[in-house]
Amino acid sequence: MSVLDPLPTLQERDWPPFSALELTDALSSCSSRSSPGLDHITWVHLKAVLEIEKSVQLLVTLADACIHVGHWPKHFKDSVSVIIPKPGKPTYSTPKSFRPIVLLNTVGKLIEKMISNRLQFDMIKDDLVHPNQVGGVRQRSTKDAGLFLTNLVRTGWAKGKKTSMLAFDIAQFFPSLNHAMLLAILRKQGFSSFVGRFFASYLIDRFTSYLCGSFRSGPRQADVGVGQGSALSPVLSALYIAPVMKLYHMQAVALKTSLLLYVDDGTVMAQSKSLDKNRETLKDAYAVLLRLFVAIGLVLEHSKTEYFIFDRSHSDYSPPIGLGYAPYTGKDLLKPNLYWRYLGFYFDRKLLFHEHVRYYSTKALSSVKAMKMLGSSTQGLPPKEKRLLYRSCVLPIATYGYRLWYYEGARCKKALSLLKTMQRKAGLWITGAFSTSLTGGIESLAGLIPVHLHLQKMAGRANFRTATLSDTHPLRSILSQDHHKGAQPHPCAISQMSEAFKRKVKGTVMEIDRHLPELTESFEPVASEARPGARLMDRFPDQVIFDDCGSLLEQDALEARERDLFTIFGNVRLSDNTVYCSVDASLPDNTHCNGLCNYSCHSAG
Amino acid sequence: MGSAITLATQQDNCEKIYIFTDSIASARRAVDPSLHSGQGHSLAVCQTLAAWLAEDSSCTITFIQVPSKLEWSIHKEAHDYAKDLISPAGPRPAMSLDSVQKAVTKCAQESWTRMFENLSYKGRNFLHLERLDGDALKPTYINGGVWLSPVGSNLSVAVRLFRYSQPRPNWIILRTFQHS
Repeated sequence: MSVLDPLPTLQERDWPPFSALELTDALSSCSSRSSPGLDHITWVHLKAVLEIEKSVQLLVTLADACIHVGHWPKHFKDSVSVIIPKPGKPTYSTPKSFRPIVLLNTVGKLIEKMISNRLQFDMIKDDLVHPNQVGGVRQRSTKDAGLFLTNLVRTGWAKGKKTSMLAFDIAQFFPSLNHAMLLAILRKQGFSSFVGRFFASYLIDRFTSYLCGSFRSGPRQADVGVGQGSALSPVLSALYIAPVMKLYHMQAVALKTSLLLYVDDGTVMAQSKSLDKNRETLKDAYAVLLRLFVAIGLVLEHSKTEYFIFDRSHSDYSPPIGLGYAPYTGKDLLKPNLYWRYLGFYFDRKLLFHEHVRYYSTKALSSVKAMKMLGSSTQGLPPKEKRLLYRSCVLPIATYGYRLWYYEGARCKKALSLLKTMQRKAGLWITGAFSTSLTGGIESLAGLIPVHLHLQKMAGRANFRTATLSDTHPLRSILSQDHHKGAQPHPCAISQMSEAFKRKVKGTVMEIDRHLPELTESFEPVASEARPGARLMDRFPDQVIFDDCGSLLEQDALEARERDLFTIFGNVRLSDNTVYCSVDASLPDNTHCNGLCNYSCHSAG
Repeated sequence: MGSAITLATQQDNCEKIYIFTDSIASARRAVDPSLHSGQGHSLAVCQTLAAWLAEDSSCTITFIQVPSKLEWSIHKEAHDYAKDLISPAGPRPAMSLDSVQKAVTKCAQESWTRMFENLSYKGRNFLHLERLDGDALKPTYINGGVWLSPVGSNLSVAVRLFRYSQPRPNWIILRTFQHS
């Protein structure tokens, strides 16, 4: 009898052999500058070696053999853990003031990455994870989780309901994953038996040696949980926790709560007209969750559980909650927070996000100030590089989570003025202009688009990104009927609203729903043709050929290319069973015309 | 490109396909089924080609790049056809992801240009510069902007240009005069 019994066992999936394309894809996504493991082979070395086709074939064969034999070589399991002290800690006597970084051998990491890409694809395609699980799954980001939460709260308000949240944290998540349980879950989720055997070998007998300053320890056994530092650990942990999400939604239907999980940060949400009722619901939901987590061998850290209330009425009634577990038993009740930090967003009771914007604009401003040491108007970095630094390192920090507070009809003048001040400071630093110059002039000279237009542009583009999401993405479940696709409609979804009610709800999700019909294209993020290992270029790499000449700017090169073309064309025209086509496209300047593609097709021989 | 490939694969006894194109990037995209604007076409191409290539291992398809500058025989033909044919968009034109996103970007850029025409935005003393063809310079964020891209790698020249374009407001200069 196992906790997994209520879940269906999926049919076994095939595992096609790895292809050279998958290897090069995985390789190109690696940063060349990350540190190597014990064997000192860096990514730069690996990239140079894998220029040669034969070595690519060798590695692909190695990867295939690992999976089919069900063995992960010992060389790939040895790692070195570098202990780095966290800056600015008052004391370095506790382990928590250090951050260990695990460095694995790069060849092993490359193969892990290829496997991880495949698992990611199957995870979405076959719905191995619950839609509301957003960490470690492709296409599901923190911003989506934030949008989902805020939309539910705002819709609840329009219905006259108040929302209470309970955020919980899993203690020591990665190290406490149970190996036998993980393998049982993988079997249940339809991974073939040799993949299961591979992971059984992958998880055990891992050794790491610790490196701290000049001290280096001997190898110590480290096979708790999933291997740290590898590309597979986020995927495996997402797969591990998936049954909890699914079982919770089966067992707690009557509670009518929403559960959202980001890796090991979870939230349960209850909505009703009274906060006292919410409190009772949350208490029950927490008990169900705890039971499920214990069943798969995970422990909740009760002291880190947080409680938060979203209420836009003027009353500041906020009843504390008694969870029934230490330290919140008897008279020690859990009081709601003033601000709630979740996934890097600062939520406040009325969803104004003043605190959030203040925090991030101050953070950005302090990095602008710190950057001043890199250059001034007389020495240091040239303006072009200063601008690049600002655009790539400061602006993304300042605008993190902007979708939560920036939408059509939002009142965000104060937030925008904070960001504007920050950009002005950066503009002055980039141009070296006089400090009394007007903001507009500086922005134009430095080529920085005004902040509100930047946000408008990003928000407009992000609206259409929703069309590319997979069929069961959490955002799909709260949109209108046309955009649900495979997702189960949420009770707060736009499809469940009347026209009059829709006007009462504001927020980013409503904006997305208004704009999506402008796009007429449809997408298939997990089409079976796009499955890694089964793509056209995976299966027939030698039969699809590209004759590339790059961008030829010089007259001589152009003439040489023309001569080549005549030779090719002459041969093509004379050979049997051959078809040749020439294609071109044109996009008229006139905005009222369609773009066109044209081709002419001839048979030769 | 999709329909050309489909038509070619339907020919009897066809073993080799040669496609002449001026954009090798779009050829690569045509056989890439992952998520991108125009994915539907790529999926169709992949389906057709996978069936055709699987039949016989001697079948090949070759994409050959023809620089459009050459205006080379049969590619020129296709180019002229494409250019001459005008297809008016109906009341509900087909919009791809790239085109809607481009429209959003263009809208933001135009709002900025309009803001820039306002003196209270750029400042009364902002140095009015023109292009060689007589158009006034307009701000842009592409490639570092109009002012930054030509001088951006030289610090002293850049700072001199920026200070000259955006001088101190008059009252400061007046006050300095009064003090001296």
